[in-house]
Amino acid sequence: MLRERRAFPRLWYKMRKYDDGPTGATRRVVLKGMTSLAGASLAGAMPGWASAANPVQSDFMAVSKALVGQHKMTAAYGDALVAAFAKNDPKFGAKVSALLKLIGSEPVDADTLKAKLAGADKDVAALPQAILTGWYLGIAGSGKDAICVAYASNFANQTVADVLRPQSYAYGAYGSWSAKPV
Amino acid sequence: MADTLSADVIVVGAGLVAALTARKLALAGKSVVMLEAGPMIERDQIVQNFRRSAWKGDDDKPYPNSKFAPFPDYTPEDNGYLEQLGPYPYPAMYLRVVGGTTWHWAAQAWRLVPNAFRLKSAYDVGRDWPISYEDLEPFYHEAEVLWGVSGPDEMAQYSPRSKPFPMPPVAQSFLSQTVVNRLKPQFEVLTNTTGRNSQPYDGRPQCCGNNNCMPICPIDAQYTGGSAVVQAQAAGVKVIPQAVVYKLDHDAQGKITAVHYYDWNKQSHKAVAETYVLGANALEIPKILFMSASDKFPNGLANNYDQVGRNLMDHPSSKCTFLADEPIWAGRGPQSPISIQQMRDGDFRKDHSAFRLDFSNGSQVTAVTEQGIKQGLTGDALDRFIRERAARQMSMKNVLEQLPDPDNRVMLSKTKKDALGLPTPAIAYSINDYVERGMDATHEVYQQIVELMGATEVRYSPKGKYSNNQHICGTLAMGDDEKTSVTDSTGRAHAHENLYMVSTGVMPTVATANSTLTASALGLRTAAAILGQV
Amino acid sequence: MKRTFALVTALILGNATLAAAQDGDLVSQGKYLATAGDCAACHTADGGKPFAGGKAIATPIGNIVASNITPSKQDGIGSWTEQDFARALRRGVRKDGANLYPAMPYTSYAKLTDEDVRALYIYFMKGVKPVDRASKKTELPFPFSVRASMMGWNLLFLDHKTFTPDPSKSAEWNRGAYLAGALAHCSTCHTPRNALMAEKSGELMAGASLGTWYAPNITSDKDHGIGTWSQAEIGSYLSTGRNGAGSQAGGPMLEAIDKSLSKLKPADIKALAVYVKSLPAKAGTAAPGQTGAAALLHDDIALNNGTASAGETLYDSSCATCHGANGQGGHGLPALLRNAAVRRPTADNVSMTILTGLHPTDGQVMPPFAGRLNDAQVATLTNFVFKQFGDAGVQTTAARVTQLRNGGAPSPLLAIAQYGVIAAGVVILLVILALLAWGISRRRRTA
Repeated sequence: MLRERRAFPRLWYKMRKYDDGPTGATRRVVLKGMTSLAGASLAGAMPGWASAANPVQSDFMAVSKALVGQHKMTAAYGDALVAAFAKNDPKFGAKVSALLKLIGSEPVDADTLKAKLAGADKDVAALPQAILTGWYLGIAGSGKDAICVAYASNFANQTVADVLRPQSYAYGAYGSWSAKPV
Repeated sequence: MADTLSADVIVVGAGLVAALTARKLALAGKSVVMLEAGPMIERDQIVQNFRRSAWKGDDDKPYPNSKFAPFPDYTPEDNGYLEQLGPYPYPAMYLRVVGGTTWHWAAQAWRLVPNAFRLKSAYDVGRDWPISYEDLEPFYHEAEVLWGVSGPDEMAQYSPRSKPFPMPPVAQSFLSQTVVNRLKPQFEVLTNTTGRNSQPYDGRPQCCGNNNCMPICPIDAQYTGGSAVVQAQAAGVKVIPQAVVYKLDHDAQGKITAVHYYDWNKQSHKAVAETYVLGANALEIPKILFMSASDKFPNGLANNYDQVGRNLMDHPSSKCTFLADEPIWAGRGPQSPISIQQMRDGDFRKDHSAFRLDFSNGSQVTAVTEQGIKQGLTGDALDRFIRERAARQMSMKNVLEQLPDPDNRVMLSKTKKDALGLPTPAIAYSINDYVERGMDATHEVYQQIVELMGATEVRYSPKGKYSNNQHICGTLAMGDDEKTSVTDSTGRAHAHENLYMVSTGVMPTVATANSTLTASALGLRTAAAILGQV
Repeated sequence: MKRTFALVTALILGNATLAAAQDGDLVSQGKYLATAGDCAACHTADGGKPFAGGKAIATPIGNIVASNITPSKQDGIGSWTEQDFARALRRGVRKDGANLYPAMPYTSYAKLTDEDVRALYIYFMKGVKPVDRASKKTELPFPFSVRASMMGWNLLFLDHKTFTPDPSKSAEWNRGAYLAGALAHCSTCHTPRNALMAEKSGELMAGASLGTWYAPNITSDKDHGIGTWSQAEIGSYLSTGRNGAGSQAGGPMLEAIDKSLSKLKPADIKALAVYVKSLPAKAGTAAPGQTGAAALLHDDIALNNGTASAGETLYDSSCATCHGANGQGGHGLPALLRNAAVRRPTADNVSMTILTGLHPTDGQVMPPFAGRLNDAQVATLTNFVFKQFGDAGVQTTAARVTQLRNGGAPSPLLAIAQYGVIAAGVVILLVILALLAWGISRRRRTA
């Protein structure tokens, strides 16, 4: 705790120096050295810096890599998901970083994931399913905060795209659905 | 205060049945105005709203809800428009927009079977209609031609026909063919009779398998209230949207003399006509009748014998989901393609509910994806799960007939009001043994089907829990006896000589077919009566 | 001589032996020829009785109404002799001596052999039911209302020669050339026209605008025509409206296929394909050729977060349902990516398809969007489709869409004629005034 408090003012000074510079790499390196909570406070204190979203974005893509298997995660889709999640959840960036620390970015199966999340903060433990819902169903968040980020290009639709079309897009000319699906 | 609007006929509500009725009157030379509480909507905007929706499982979400013409909404939470008095919830779903609720339906178009009109005489349950199937048959056909109905010839054995269907049945998907063949000969599974184009019809294209009938057909291959309003306008009917009717005036004899409505700026307007037709759905019409209570009619209009709003019936449904033993890939073609008609009539109706059994062809992709994620699957395992299950999962449901029960009713809420200060509907509802025994009979059929399909992972809806189908009937029941009905056999209010009702609400029993075609036929018959032809 | 005779025989009867010319045979022969010549396209009104006329054909100088050609004695051609019929068909002159407008493609039918004209005559006299209803009269603005003006036009542009087979080519090619030239009258649409609206002889089938729809370059030019199509693809297109490789018929060509070409015998389709494939390459009006950008749409992220362009949004709400979220089509619905329609030198066909839809006799209908989209939206959508899926160098404007919606831009001939009439009137007035002045001054002098 003490260490963080001492680190905090030093980082503040360092961040101000790089505030208007394009040295995102420098900022990212600094951030990665901090705990996620400290990162969140910083984000709250310095919106101009944190909303660059690069650190959150790269953590998000890294942790998503552990979860989504073979699917191609585009930067556009990832950015859109992060923006949607963060819109209604100020702690999102912190949770993502925490999750990344717990599960890493190599693919994990269901059992491994469960084991790695044992004892984790319940918000963080709920995140993998939320992230998967984001990529696979294109929906970020839940309840009244849910936001649709993608539909036709979500991973669930892509997974079956050789046989089906997303609802509201035509299967084919009239009668084409009578043939046995190949 | 604007000038008083005046026309030969004022129709309250611009849904499918109201629009067909209005059109017929306009073609006969009447000036007709339709007052609709909700806004005009554009199909293409609704399609976009659906694709952007974060709650794609909710059919109402793509449609604009509003505080001046609010309608029930349950996702992500209940908006509280309907007050539920119990004991059983009745979460009705309907729209208040130009075109009405049939913007989001599957256009099922079965006629009733003849015995549905004489349930009491034949089986000593429920009640008889004041008309017979034969009385309604020509109007059924008239409605079918206006809709553009496609159906199989075999349906004639259930509902006799004087003329063939306007169009042949919609082509069966591989899923449908599989079910049809696997269930033979024990069960006859027929292509559904629908207002869905198997050929170009009335300037609208044939179906191209969007699998999105509910909540919106993107290409109007399916007939909807939106199509009906277009037909009505082409006949000269004037539609005024954002006109929330809240009161009817009457004279000393009970003849209706004016209708009052709010626009969305909360300004009140008045409209007068010779004839008034209420077509605003079976919950909203009673609301208007109750709100029109006066010294002469303290319990509301058309309600001298406390019948308005009572005998509320719907079709309780219970689902069964399973994995077929081969890939059938639900999601190719229309959402509700086939069903079993055999259990819609028979002696058993003395004891338990008749029912129809419907098979769903709706895409399972979202459902299985949610299931896989919930089970904790990730990556390739999740992908395999999705593919495997989207290929084999399908569901079926029953559509049970509920008997009229006067305690099942819609009233005005004593506590809730909308932004115009109008009370919202309050509903008391229950489901009785007749239905439960029908569910038991269905369960036996489910088990036979499950075996014939080689099904695994069979899941049933929880026992005693039913979904409703938005086939709202009974609240304005027609009958010969004014003490036990609201309207006569032509849909005219017993108590008011120039007040008519066109709605599923006038049906005295709910039977086992989706109600809109029957309501359309009744509405066309009402129009004929207004024109002195019945 | 023998070879020519054999060729002529082959092309008349399509490889059948020359049978005795009994009326029954001639009626069915004539019926086939009438189908190949697509008489019904103009002479049978939509929903009307066969060949009873009444259909208005829009032209840049006004509507021309097709006449009743049933054998009705009072309202049709029932009193016409075979010579009268041949004169109308090949010279563009009615029985009463008045000229027909070349909306009636008599410049093509001029090539018909005598035997075929006979068969057509017998068919129209004996194989068609008389309909006693006069069709409306054509009323074009002055001076085009003066039919006699066609005499000068015919002198300049009407070739009286019937079809002469080319002995250096195969029987099949000649059959195709005859079908195309004398009956299916392909060049009346596909060949560009000069200022007096006659076909440009050196530009055979090099593509032409019909005022709204554009009849493409169907020469064998590999870049600007259909030189990359195989003969089988041409045949498939002619008989089904689809070549199986991203090209599908719309507008008047779809109608020609539905009513005429799809009903031709396979051997005749093949002959036509052989002929069309041999058309000398002409560049015609070249398309800009910026097709490099054409790509499937990547994802719908922008559509969901509100940053999609107007064109992309319109595409999603109006087109994506059938043509695919990515423009990929599928299962019988055409892809837009690299569709032939988005590689034309003009955007008109895409705009017209959006406005009117496609209505094949059999097959999936594309609905019209004229009632759902305004001119600016149609233009935005057209431009998006070209940029995204085809030749990014082809664009249109709302003003052009307005013209298309109204049946095309009026012909400059109209303006010239109107000005010409006004000018003539002014001249006449001046002459009269001058004469009056001269007469008055003369009287003064003599008074």
